[in-house]
Amino acid sequence: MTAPMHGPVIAPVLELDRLAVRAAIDGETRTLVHDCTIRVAPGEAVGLVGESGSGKTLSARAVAGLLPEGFSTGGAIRIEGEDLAALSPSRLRDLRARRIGMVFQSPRAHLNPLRTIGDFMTEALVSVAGAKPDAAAARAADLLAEVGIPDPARLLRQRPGELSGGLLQRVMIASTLAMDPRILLADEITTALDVTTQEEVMAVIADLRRHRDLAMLFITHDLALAGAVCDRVAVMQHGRVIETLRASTMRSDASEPYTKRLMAAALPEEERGAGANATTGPAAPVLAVEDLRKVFAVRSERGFGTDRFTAVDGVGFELRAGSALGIVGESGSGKSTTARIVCGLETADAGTVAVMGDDWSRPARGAAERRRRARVAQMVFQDPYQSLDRRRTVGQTLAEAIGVHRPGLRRAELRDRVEALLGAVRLDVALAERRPRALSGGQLQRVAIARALAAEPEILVLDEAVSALDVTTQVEILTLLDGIRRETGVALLMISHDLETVRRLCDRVVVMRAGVVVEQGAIAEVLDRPQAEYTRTLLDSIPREGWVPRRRLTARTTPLPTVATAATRTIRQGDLHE
Amino acid sequence: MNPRVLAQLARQLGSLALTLFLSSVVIFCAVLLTPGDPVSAFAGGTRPTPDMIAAIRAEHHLDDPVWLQYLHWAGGVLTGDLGTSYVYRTDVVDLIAPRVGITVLLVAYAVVLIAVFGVGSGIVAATRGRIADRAVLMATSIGMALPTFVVAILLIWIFARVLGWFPVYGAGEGFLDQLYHLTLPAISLAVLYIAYLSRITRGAVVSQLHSEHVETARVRGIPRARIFRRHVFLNASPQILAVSGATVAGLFAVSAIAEQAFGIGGLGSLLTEAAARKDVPVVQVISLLLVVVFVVLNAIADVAIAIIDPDSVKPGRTA
Repeated sequence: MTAPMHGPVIAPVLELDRLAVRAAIDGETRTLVHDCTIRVAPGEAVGLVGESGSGKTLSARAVAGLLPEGFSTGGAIRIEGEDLAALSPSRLRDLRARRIGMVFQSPRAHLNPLRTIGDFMTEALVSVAGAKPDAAAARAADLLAEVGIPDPARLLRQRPGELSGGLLQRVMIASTLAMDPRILLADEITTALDVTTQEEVMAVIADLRRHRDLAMLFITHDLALAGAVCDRVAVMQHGRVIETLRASTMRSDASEPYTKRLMAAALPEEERGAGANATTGPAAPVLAVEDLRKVFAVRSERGFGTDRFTAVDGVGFELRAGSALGIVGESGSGKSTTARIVCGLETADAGTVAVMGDDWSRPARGAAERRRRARVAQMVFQDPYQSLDRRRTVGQTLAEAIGVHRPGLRRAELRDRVEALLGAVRLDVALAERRPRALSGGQLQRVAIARALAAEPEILVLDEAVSALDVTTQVEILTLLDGIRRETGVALLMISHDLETVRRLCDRVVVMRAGVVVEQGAIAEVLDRPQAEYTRTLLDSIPREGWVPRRRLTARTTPLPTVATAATRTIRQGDLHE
Repeated sequence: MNPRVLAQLARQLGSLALTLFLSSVVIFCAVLLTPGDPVSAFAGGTRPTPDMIAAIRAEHHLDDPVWLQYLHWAGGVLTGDLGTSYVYRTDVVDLIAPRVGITVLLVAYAVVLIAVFGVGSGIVAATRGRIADRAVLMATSIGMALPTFVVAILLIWIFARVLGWFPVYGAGEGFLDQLYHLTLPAISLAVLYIAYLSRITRGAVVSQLHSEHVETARVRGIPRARIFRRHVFLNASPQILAVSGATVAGLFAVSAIAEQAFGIGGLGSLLTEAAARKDVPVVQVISLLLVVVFVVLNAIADVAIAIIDPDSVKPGRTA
């Protein structure tokens, strides 16, 4: 890669010069971002990588003028050489509107649900750039076509609620292009998307950047993804940029231990998997699911009557005692519905669920039966912030869970048991006195796991149990779960959209798509020698070294002419992704 | 029109019919269950002879089984025969018709006040900084704590007695004079609801101001006024509308207090009077009228919401 550095002539599109972000909270000022210095040259893509709370999003929001009330900045932010602090409010708004395009994590929340896509696409053109509504609509349709949307005219009349997350994210991207911005601020734009959709969106962005000479500040917690789509990567920790690396050589250049930890977390560990297999012999199945089927009645699109939607269709698998089975699939694959049927939260329309010889096909009737089943199967959910009662201390939460299954324990025994559970999830006993608010996401998820273990279950169902956590925390929790499985012999049923998570923890895997099992088998066989086309697509979509996102939808063949001239920058086309 | 909106409309009409039927049964039975014999009310103070009693019972079908009495009454209501007042001995229609106008005018006046000052102060509280927010919060706390009749007394004392700006009594002649006469009653009626709607509006607007889609609009440089109109207020309006439907309908019932306090001969004062004198047919018809108004206004609010937000009609996603 030739040096995409800022020459003496070309000013950086975006320059953060010793940027500090401070927040006044309860009368005291805390500095959340320290001395953040980043330059993004024209056409360059810089990744800003770090875990939640590292200050990466705050930095981007400072650029876009979206800091919450009570926040202030120090240092300087310059866009094409202009210091934002020196501009009048109206000039600042205009500059941001015309030079910056910002795309966010959840497109669904960031689009007004009551307005049509057409309204959204044309609004800035009409109200900021003063375009005629007709011309704006024509341009909107062109832009939608440019991001690979097949029927733009129809889409312009639809509302956000009618579209998928991937489509909406493309609409967001297309809308930012309306003003021909020089830089795209992308804040975790693919985090809420499935891997295949993530690949699509990243491919769209790669094309746009090639054709439009668009610079990008790409904020993500996923170092592998940043490395694959950016020229340079800045790693942030505790509000500071700890190192900036060239993406192509970041794996060898990284010197900070934190960066190396992020890399280890993001990369598949090759020696794992096989180790997990070794412990499981031909044990009896604790859970056998056969020919499961679930149909939901959904209100029809046209307003009258109902449509039938088959969420789960003929699903079958076995979970052996002490083993770990992963069910992977994208949103809408039916994996969560399957897990909910197993746990009795949903009733199957057909098929059987057998747990240790008992028929669990229908949800438990009566408290006694529910309690009996709860001793066998426990569930851990995705978001520990929501699945724990914020008014109870950790000790109270655990004591309650123990009390359900072992009524009549004496106080001292109860306390011993709570301490044993905290020990089992490697948490300090002192945390028993704390409330959820005072704990980190990783600690909370450990508490949730401890609560599930209070019942001493045979099966632990993990519904996206690590998806909401930072990568390094994910690895910790997965290691913990693996340890618990080996120590207690509990069988794990892991529902996840993330193949790498499943690879780290499970010995067998079921791949689902649109309610159907596409492929299942031993983890190494399925993930290393996939038979199904869909499994291959899923694997190809995972960002890794040398990964190039591909567009699977047909795109237009010619790029739109833009106001900014792309001709002068042809040298760099090859640098990006080929 | 959007098919989902049409479907919503159809559902509304269905539930309207059902609600009216059920409430008419409840109203009919409730009045029958109250103590006292309608015959004595009808005889009006004189001691009736057994012959008179029998004649009265026969004329008003009082010896029929309850369900037949109901059918008789409901059939009459449906065909426009609302029955005869026990007290005034005239058709209920003739009692009600001349009073509807003044009550509707009073309520409409109050609605305008509520919409302007309730929604307005809510928007001010949400958008004009801390001090404005505190001030509106304090004012609305007081407004919510004051019962309508206390407001009426205060208004009469200040504006009619001390300042002498407004009349104390009566409804006035001609439209402008009527408005003049109804000003104090309308204010006394509106205060509580202004406070209530102000709180609702403030909450709805604040939640939209901090929503992510408004953030997007700001990044895109959309002018502030336009963001407020098209993204903040529009999205807050379904919440405000939902509350407004019930509020306006409630005004018809509460108007009785204001009408009594200011001596206005509207539906409300007729209802209070009829209830006190056990004039069963009048109470039944006005009660039923209140139910109709309540259901219709709520249905209008629901359809308006469906037009603004067709997705609100759709059930939550499954799977």
